[in-house]
Amino acid sequence: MNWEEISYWLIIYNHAIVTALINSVTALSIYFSLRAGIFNLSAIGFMAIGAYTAGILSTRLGLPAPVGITAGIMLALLLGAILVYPVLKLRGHYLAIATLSFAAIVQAMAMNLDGLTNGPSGLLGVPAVVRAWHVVVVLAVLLYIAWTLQKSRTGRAWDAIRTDVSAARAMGIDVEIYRLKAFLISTAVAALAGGLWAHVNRVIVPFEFGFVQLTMALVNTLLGGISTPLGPVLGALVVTTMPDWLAGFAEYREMIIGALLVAVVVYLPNGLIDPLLGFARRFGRKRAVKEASR
Amino acid sequence: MNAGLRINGGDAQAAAHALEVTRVSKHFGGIRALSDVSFTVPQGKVVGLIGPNGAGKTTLLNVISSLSKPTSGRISIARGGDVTDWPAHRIAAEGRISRTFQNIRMFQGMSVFENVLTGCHASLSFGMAATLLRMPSVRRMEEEARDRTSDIIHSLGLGAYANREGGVLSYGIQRRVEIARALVSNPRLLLLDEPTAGMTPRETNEVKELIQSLRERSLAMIVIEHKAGFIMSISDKVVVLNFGAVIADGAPAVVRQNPAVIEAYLGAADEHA
Repeated sequence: MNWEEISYWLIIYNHAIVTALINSVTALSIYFSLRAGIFNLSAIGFMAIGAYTAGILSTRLGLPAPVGITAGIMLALLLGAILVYPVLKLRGHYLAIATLSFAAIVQAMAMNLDGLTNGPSGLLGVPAVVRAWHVVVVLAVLLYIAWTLQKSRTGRAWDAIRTDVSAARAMGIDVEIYRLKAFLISTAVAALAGGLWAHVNRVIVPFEFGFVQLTMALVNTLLGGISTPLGPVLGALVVTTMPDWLAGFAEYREMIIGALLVAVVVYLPNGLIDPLLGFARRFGRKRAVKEASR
Repeated sequence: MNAGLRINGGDAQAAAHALEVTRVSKHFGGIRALSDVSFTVPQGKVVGLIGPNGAGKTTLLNVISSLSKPTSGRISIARGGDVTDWPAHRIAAEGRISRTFQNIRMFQGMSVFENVLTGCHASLSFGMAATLLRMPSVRRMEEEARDRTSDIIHSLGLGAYANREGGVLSYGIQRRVEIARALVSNPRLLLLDEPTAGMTPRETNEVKELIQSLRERSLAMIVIEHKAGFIMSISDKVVVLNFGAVIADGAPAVVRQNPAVIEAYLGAADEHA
């Protein structure tokens, strides 16, 4: 493939690529919660808040995209800080239901606050200023953060809390603070994904922030696996670009993804990334052995 | 064997007890799991905690480590005074009380090394921002924690398992990993809940030697155990619980002769035998 072909390909698939990258950001938002053992389903709601804030500020007030996106993150953090107190008192399924309700409320507000959001017909004419490379940079920064944290004191605390809360407390880990941190990081990243999406898609409609989209985001995260932040990104890239690979089978997408998810959950409970990394490590080791024996 | 252990218990502080439990009760609904329990752990001494099944031994350790709140009563430590209201993480981090669990609680998916390293949490003080900025102090502390982890793992004879996943190893090994994880934070008081359950006689003996060497370094301990010979040989004093109440408290030789203990504890043991 020469450069011209590559650039042609990039133009054709630009929308799919940017969508896949933004879905990776959303998947990372969910990753941060799951990693700390919080089954938090509010990501899609905070994504909507990020998208609408960025959209409204740019269409109504003509503010530049970075300002609108930042404002969306701030608003999400503010609401997240209020939501976090009742929510983090809950565990497991109860927490999942409470955060899902929050996302449903956000979607209902987006539908009904016509004056602000333009209701079900959506907010039109958001300037499409976000390019693929912007999202690549954002993703790289987030991966750096997630990667550095998972290897650190913070990441160990999250892992400990996820697997055994009592043992974590006995290690001197302030469980409430670490859950709070994970929840707020997750919130900020979701709002960031929403803000970026607003400036890619030009149009924001409430239907894009519903249960189906949330399920897809969860599927992306779980399919890839959360044992490393690369997992959710891999999952999002694979699932989002799947219709393009499947070509003729595109209408069976949901079915195929569903079957894939069942297979992964049953046979690869740690997601797709685990065997891939294991393979890479084995390959690396073999090469090292070969080189050593030379 | 224990060259790597650096225990800080010995700085003799004005005769205060390492732990003082005063009239502690714990009720679960109508069940009185603990009633009016009082005893002390002198600095640098080993207290054996025995009693029949269901006597409240584990509940007592849970109350001391604050994983469960007492219904009434007071718990105080040498440095920190009354700690009854402290949350569990503060008891561990600031109160420097470490523990192991009767029903082993490994962090699943973590290697033995990572499990023990997680025990260093409280002794590391940097936060998220410093981590993300890769401050030199973070690197230094992290390296120091890794060295300490490695020392403890080797001194407990776990070197061969360092990179294995903790949760899949044998009971005996997992119990030792838990002890390593509790010791790595350099505690002032160590709570061991049945540290030799499920162990072979040889492993049991190794734990006995470990406890004796920790005691030589003046680390105060509470040890729950069912093996009577084991507890009598390691303890400076023995506290006997039955139906949530202390029925005897004293030197092993004295407690052994106590008729109430013989009836409640050894008598019950005979029935099982």
